[in-house]
Amino acid sequence: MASLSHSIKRGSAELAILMVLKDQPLHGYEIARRIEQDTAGVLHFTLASLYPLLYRMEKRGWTRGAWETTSGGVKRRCYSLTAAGLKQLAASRREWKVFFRALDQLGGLSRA
Amino acid sequence: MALDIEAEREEQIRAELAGHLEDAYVDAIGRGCTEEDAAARALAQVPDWTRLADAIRRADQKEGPMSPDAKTLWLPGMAALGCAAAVMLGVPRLLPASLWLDPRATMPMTAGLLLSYLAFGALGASLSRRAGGGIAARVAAGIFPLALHVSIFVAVVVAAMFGDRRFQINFQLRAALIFIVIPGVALAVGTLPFLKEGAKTRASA
Repeated sequence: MASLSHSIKRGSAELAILMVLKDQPLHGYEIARRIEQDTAGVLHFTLASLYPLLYRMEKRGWTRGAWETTSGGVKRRCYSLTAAGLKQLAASRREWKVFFRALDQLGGLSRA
Repeated sequence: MALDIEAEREEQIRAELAGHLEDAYVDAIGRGCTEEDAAARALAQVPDWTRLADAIRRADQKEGPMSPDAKTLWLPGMAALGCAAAVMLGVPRLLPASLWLDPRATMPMTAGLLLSYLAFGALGASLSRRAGGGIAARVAAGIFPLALHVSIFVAVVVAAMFGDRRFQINFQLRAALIFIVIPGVALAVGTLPFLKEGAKTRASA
């Protein structure tokens, strides 16, 4: 399993959260689990790494949290993307594409 | 873990983190861990609670020059107050003077004003909620136009003190009812739809 440096993980964490919330609202544990599953464990969030990020994103208006009752009958605070979050997702995707294209042009990621 | 933030918000964060730990525990049990191991795995997600509290406190603070109170209370409150002031100043100018003296117009005008106050209360509370305000901030923002009414009430009462003292108490009670209690109730009722966060039921993902 590939391992990424801490700084790259941190920089991509917001994008990862925005991407998993694009399809449906999720609560914190679901967000962490979904990201871990979809990235085969390369991106891994713990409670300590996830929630400060979630709260910051909510304060920026990218997500909106609301308490909901799950089918299991427990209350969880679920996050959904706002219009501002969708815009941010599109902008972040563009930035990361530019970043990877630049790296590729520099030396060729495939040859690195 | 003390966050030293608004009590209601802190309680929500505690409940949310507890839910996360509970999910992690249940998940670990489902994967065959013993109860002890599952609990240890869940708690291992937070190596340093003090550091987590600091990180959450920083994240929960508003970015930019405006304080949380400014965004969740003062701005929404001032917006509601501005609308109320515009109505209080604008309606007498826009409506003909004869209408004020017509007894048949009293009820519709009173109803219209009360409806507008429901809307002002709703406006203040909804703006506060959008800014992330807690229930106390939403209520305060919604009933913020009462500040205008209290100032009018004080002015009216002070003016009445120089008038006929026999009617003073009766006048003050009526003034309080008309200027504070009734608009206050209308504003508070207007905030009600915005005091609850979504309580929808959805399937667990």
